Amino acid sequence: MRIALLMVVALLFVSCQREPSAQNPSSKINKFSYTAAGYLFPPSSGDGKRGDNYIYAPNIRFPLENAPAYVNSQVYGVGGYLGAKGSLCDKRNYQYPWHDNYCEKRSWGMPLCPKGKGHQGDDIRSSTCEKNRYYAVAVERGIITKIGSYSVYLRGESGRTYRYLHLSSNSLKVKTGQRVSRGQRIGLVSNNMGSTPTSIHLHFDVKETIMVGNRAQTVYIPIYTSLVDSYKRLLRGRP
Amino acid sequence: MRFILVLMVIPFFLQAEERVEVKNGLLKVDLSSKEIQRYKNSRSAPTPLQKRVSVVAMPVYMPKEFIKNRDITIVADKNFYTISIPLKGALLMISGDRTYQQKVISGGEKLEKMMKLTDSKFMISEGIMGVDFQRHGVNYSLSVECDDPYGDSRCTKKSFLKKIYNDLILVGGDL
Repeated sequence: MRIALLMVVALLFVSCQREPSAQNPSSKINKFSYTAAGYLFPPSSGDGKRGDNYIYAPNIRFPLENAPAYVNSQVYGVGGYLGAKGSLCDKRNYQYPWHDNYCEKRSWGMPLCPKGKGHQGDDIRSSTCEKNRYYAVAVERGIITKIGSYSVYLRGESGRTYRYLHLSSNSLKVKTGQRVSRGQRIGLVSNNMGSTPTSIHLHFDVKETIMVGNRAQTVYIPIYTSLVDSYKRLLRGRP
Repeated sequence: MRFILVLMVIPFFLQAEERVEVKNGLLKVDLSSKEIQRYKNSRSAPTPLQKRVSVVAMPVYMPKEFIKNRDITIVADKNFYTISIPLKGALLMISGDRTYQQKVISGGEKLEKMMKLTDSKFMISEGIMGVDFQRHGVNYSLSVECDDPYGDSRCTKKSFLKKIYNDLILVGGDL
């Protein structure tokens, strides 16, 4: 009798640990919030391309394996080089809403940003402020074309090139020339930037060729709307 | 009445920004027979390298200095190629691509101007020195990534990559 009671108590304990609400996709999606594309935070961090809600890379898989994840600024976030004082692991960096940082102030040429310069991609924090715990995954089927000391390049079947930066080199699950499937693990999110560590995040950007008139040029495309779209699918359990 | 009509029309003009249409396609390779002949006469690239890039339906360029490097990695397809060249403490990469993914079908004048400003400009992004450029109607990208992105002059100054860029030679492709 005592054993049976103990088993019932143990079962109850296990079921409580599961957090039923967190298992429900609709509750996850209800918690998710984001500011519109081009609205940077803080506003002093740059001028985004407001009003452009076009999804440049449709139907990609979200680049991190699991939710929650947080798109926001590394430089202007809490603990960042130009951000509010505090720890990089401050909980304010790990909460919704998301903020686009594709056009954040940089000196790099970016034709699709209003000032012609910007950050090229969006920075994504994983669920918690722990390095080497969360996997970045292939956003579409393709081939790994280059692996540098802190970069991995994936050329998707769409012809787009996806760049994953700051993954832990020791954790990489892919090799140059390897074909990968959508959702396949690439490596763990870390703070790797060669000999100079950065904050723990994934810098994710996408290059593609755009034709304007007779002119074709390879550019970094605004990726925020594609991230929002893919994240919603991840939260619904259909990545 | 006219004033009201004008007010109604103004927002349409304000929104007349570039309109993008998804349309994958291939860029036309514009390589003159004179250039092909010059390449064939030079025979500068080793045969194994030429064989490895023969599948690529566009001119394949790589830095002259490294054509005999045995450690290079080539990832190639009919419409693109990437050549990675390991250096001491850095990785040099050149890629070529003749596909496009989007076509701006209206109002792209401003974007075209902005694009011209960045074409063939040497830039450092995330510690990686790179340049995107057009040649023969298709797109190429050249970059160097250093283990020490803030201390290695190959990634902090343009001179190293500029020299590589100026020394690019045609090594093959399906010409």
